[in-house]
Amino acid sequence: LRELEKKVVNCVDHALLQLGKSIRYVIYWYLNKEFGMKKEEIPKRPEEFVKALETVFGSGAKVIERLMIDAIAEEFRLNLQVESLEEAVQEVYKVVGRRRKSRAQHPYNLT
Amino acid sequence: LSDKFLDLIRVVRLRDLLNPNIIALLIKGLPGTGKTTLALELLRIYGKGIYISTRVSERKMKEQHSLVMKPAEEKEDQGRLEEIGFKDLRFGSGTEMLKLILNEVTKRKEFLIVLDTWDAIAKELEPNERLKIERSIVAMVEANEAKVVFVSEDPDLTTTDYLVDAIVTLKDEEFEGRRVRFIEWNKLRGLPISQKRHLFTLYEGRFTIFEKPMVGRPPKVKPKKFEPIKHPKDHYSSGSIELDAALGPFKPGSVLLAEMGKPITTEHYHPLLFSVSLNFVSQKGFTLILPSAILAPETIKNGFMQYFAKETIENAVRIGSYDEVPDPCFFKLDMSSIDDLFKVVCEQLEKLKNVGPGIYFVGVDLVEGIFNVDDTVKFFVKLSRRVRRSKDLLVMAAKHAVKSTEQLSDISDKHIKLDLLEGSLIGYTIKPAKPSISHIDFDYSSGFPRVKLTPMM
Repeated sequence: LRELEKKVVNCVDHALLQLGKSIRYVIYWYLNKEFGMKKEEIPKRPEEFVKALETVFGSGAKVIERLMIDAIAEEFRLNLQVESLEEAVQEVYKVVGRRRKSRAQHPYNLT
Repeated sequence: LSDKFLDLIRVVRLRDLLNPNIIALLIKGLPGTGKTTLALELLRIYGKGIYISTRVSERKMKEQHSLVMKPAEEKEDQGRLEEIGFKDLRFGSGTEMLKLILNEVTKRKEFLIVLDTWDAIAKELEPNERLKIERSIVAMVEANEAKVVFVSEDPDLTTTDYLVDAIVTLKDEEFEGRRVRFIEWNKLRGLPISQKRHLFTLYEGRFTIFEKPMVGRPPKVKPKKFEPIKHPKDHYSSGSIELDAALGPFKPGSVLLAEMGKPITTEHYHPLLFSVSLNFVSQKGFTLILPSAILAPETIKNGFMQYFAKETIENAVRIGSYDEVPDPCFFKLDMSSIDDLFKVVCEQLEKLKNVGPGIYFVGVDLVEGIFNVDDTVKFFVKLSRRVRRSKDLLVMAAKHAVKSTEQLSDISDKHIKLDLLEGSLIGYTIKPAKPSISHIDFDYSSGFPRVKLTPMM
């Protein structure tokens, strides 16, 4: 599970990089300062993270959220039909959980 | 200077830069062109904001822009400026600037942020990173209903130029050996640019853009009794404190040449000469006018009728006319010869000798239009001799096409020139030569024309 969360954070990181290194740094700084949230906590609190983005970018946050959803879809090779980061993270947990389960039940699985 | 008058004209044009369609503004200009003063003036008008400096300390800024930056309790219009802050970011980076902006915009709404200069930070960034930061700043301020002003000394097109909603460029140039300043409107989202350039001044450390002069009393302002400015002992006042200060005292018996630049028309200089006349007539003096060829004598008389009783005008106003008119204010000009013209003028002056000090206005074109240059000069030489004896005041108004200007300058004590620059009326002194140049406008707020002179600085 920690590995999965790391991957989600990487996707958020990658999406924010499109705004520039400085902006990414400042967003994490603001997140910590105003919302007491570290970037590692984003997969657990995606709704709050998006709210923080909204206070910074207003409706522009929607565009950034979309970038993060697309990055997650690419990373986990998912066809995500969702509108929010929160739904995307839930979908990742669901699908990856299913994939693990089916891998574990595979007749040739020796683990 | 009447602060109210200047405050009014100052605010009108600058409000365009703060219209709701404009989130990001770029002020461009070389060092010393007035960018900081403009940015501070915008902060002053907006009332709430922060000035982020990458160049000077707060102490230096307060010294240089004392009027705008002084503490709230000392400010005249309290309540508007109390929320202006200063942040020293001289050794800051792009990240620190972003942190600061983010911190400010998320705390307050309707907030104006000035980044002076943005170049200092932007030039340290990679072009791609610079564009991203600029985009994010604009997005952050827009999301939080704030506005941002980028101040730049870079004359070239940069990423900021494409991103902002409005761009103005400040320039200073030389005009007749004198320094004049221009604001150029390059981009103004949501509003039409009606005029590409305007004149402005940094007089008293404030940013004032000049419009076209108010050449007539606005219809909504009702005429009121003219309030004279008393002639000081041994001198005459022009009726405008600023004009008196700019031209120096008018000694009784002196001669002034008012030269007009090419674009100057009667409507520009008439209110100026008219208000000087009003000051003489209202102090039991008289005025004798040989109007410019295109100015109807009736129009001039009607001007006086707005401010004086008929009896006063009939006693103190004399206007030369080509025609015989049964009106005590008018007298027929005898244009048979230059001597006849001089004679008829002298006859009128004789009749007025019991009335207090007089001012004569003579349109040089009226004389030169009939007579040659030598005769014209001869006429004015004779008239100036008479003025010196009678201790009155002679003003010769010379239009651009007039050929005798140089000779008339020789016989005058003072020589001023009026001109139009970007639609604004300006004036400067040629004799005695002064390096200053002033903007001229007419304030009708008291119900009569009062000449307003603002030094161009």
